[in-house]
Amino acid sequence: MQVNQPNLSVTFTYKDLLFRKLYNAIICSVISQILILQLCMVIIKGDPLYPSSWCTTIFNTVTSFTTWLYVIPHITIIFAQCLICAKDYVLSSNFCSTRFKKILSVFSLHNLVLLSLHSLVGVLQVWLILSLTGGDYKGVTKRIDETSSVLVEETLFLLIGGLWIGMYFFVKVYMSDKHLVFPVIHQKKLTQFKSNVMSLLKSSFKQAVWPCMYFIMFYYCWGLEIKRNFAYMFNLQIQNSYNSKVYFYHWLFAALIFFNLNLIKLFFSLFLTEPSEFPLVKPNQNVLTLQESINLDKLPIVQSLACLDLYFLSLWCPFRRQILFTLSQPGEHPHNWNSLIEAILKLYRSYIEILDKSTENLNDKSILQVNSLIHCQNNIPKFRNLRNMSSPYSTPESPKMLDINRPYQNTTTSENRSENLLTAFQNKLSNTISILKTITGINYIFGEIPQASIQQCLSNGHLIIWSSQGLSELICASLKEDRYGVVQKDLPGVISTLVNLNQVLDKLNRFPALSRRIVGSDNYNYKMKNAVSSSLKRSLFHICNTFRNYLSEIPLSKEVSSYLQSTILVKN
Amino acid sequence: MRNLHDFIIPQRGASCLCEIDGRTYYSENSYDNISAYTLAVETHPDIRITNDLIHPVSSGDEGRSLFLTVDVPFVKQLTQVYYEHGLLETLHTASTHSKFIVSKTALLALKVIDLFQKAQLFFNPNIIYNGISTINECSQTRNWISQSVRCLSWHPYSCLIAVCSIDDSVRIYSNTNNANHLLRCKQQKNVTCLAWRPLTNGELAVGHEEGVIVWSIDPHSLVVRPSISNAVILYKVNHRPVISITWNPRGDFLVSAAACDKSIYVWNVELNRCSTLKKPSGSGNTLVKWSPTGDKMFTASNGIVFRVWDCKTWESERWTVLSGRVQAACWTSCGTHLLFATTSEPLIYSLRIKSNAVFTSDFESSNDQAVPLFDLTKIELNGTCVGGLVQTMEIDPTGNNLAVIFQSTNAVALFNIAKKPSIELIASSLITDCDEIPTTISFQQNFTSGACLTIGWSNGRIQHFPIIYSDLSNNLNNSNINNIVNNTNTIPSFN
Repeated sequence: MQVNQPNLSVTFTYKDLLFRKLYNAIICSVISQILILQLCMVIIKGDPLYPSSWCTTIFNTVTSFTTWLYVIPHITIIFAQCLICAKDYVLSSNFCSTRFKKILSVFSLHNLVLLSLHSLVGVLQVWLILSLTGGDYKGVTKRIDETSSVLVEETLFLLIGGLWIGMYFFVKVYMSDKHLVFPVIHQKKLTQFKSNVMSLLKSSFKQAVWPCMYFIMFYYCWGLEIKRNFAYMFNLQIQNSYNSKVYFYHWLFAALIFFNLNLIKLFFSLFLTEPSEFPLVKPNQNVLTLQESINLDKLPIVQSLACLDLYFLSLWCPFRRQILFTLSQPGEHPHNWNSLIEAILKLYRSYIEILDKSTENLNDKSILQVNSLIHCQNNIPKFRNLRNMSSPYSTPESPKMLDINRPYQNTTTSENRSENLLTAFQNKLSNTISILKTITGINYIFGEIPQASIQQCLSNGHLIIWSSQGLSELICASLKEDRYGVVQKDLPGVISTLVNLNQVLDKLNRFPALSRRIVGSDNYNYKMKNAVSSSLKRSLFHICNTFRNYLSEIPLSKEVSSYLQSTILVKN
Repeated sequence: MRNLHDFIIPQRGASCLCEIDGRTYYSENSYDNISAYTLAVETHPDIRITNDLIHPVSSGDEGRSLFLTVDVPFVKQLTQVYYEHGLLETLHTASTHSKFIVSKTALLALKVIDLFQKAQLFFNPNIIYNGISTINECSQTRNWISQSVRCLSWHPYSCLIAVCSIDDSVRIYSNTNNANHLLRCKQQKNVTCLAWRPLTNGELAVGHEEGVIVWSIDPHSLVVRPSISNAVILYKVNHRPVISITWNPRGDFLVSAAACDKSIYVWNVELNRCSTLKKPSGSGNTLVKWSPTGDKMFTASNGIVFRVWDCKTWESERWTVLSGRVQAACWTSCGTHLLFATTSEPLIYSLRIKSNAVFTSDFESSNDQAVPLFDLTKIELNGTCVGGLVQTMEIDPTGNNLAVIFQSTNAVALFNIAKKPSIELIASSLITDCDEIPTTISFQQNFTSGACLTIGWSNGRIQHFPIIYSDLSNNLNNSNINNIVNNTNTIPSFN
């Protein structure tokens, strides 16, 4: 049966997909900035007692040429900032395994440009509002007579404050959290925007409190110095008429800058996390299919969207499910399904590999400990003839087992002795070096951060969550919808891989930070590990529950089926 | 329209035991036992919540009476008050201090807090919360405030039942294990609802006054009192009292509704993240029910509005009742109909839900009205009052039976649901237990011989009432129903 996909685009590349999303996000950010600016001016210039004059002022402000002349540089900078930020949201962040690399990555050109843009946005925003609304703080200088000008300290304070807030936002908020958070349910963008915008406004006012305090303290200590230097540079006079109202204005400006920058972030996350439909069939080279997107490591956002699309198609689109279950014409091969399952299993295997590698050291230690215990027990002569059956690690081939039929012979020669001495010396040396490294902090800076790769893995946990749930839903739907039985052949492989992945995740419980909740910290990794593990268990449960009556006919290894029996299936 | 006269009331003093092939069996005397009729519930846990089981409510002040009061320095006293009762009480204590400046500062702070609260109330009037009387009013449990059994919930795949008693401890009974799990913690106060997570072995969400706690339980573990570290606590400011919770059929999301909060939250439990469903209707929400097929969700506000959400796009259809609010509602097993009852009329309505499937029948066109299905006006049968306003109702997983508890009368009404050609309710049996009051009901989810209704009675007894079809292929919906007279009228009061 040939099923043609409707609206099959001739070209569908990640560039098309991302370009559309980023374009919308940037346009919305820029427009919102203009609107906020206008709104601020309307509020500041407003006089509720004389509404008619208020209206004319609003009209004059909005339509005046000067306003737009002032606004254009601001908009240009916002646009540039959005363009550069977009790269951060879309491309995968560099994986830094050591602290040194992390520090180096902070001082990159990209970050430097963004930092300057952020601080520029902060200054510009304050300057725009101050100069457009007029009043006492219109400029940094005020002319008192023909020849001399006086420094308006308040304006200087507010402008430097704006610079500081821009920098603070970049370092504290932007740098620390570049993750796009996918919403729990995907409502319409406008609904999401409406439900987020008020809380964003509130949180911006709260977020702005501490940086304002820091800046006020800074200015209290160094303000005089700055003021003097500035006045000296531009040959200005200094007046001592400092108004403390300016602190309040500073807080308001800070909140506004925070709100604007947060809003840009919100637009990016709204547009980029919006679900997209990927094609399932590849008619030509220019089409990026769902199956290919799942393994597109370099663009994590496309990967996430593909997994999300898989989840949605498994739940809501019987027609698209049918495309996966059909056979190709001519040839009658389930190419669509095969490529999908291959992509998903590849994703899982890479996960298992990374997590296995990270937990390897831990395993070695624990096994060594167990083995040393066993050896201690074996040294007791009374039970020398008994093999220890309780040890899971001592297989008959194990070299550590003692062959009791050939009693231990002393074959140590002088050559061996010198070798032993050499190794002992080497051990001692390496121990001393490692202690030295620890003491001097070399290990701390250049050594590998423990669990860095696990954290990297868990930060992409949602890929596993969506793909496993989508896959289980597809497999369960196949019981009724898959008339050619294309899914059946992969069932053992899928179940085994899911079980493997789950077992690897269970191993993570040995890390103290991942095995329990730590009070007071966000512990994202702990939560994500639980979320991934829970979704894997539910997926396995769903598959096992649906195929309950046929489970004995699926060829599974002993280990996998015992895991299913003990952990997943319900015992009645 | 059909009414309660179709029912046959059991004799006074007789208690109902079971229903087998449409015939109800009663016990006339105490010797009669259900095992004489069926062995289907033989291994079911025998539960009775007695006074001995109920933990006394402790306020944490018992130890205080043992100690003599001593004079401590004022700062120390303040620190103690702060640790035990919080900031507000500390300020109150400080305001009684003899030093003028201390008392004045404390009073000023109290005034500021008071003003702040008043301003908050002005901007957000729905945060007024009257404590447990609100819960009692909106709860699905009859006389929630005073009954020993507060809620029941059957595990979706095994013979495990969670029972919450008046002391807010949740006990889990199983047919195999004699040791019952006990879920209890400091945070779990005034439990209103329970819901097992689908597609898991043992995760139970407990909705209580301040939020939701999702417990992870291993039903076969020897640890019968799991610690709170095994649980996820979901909490939102001003989201209280949580009155209704529901899982989606895949177990991904938990939805919680609170009686004094306009917002309904959809939680990702493990990540402790939520999205908000917010549409103008009432000042709170009283009921959320996810349809068994997973594509729709029903939410009822405490005003006249109720909504049916499409879970793909998260857009909603808005419905209104004439007066009162929706008190009880349930989905049919196929997810095509919603049955509901309001707080103002003794009627069960049915609402056909539009589905978004491509090739749907032409039923959709006449889809803008709710149809009254059954008249539940209070009547007297052999000297016993039956009917009245509905407290709660439940449909069994096979979709063949509907059980209803009333607000003021003591019989549990059991209906058969016939879906062909249109949905019909057929009077089946009335379940009574002497003069006891039924407080809460739940259907067993994995009962293979038909349906098993579990009823919590006011004396603390939990009764299992099996409804058995000896030939499962020949139940009501598969056979031709000849005796149904289609006499439903549409009432134009719904829009």
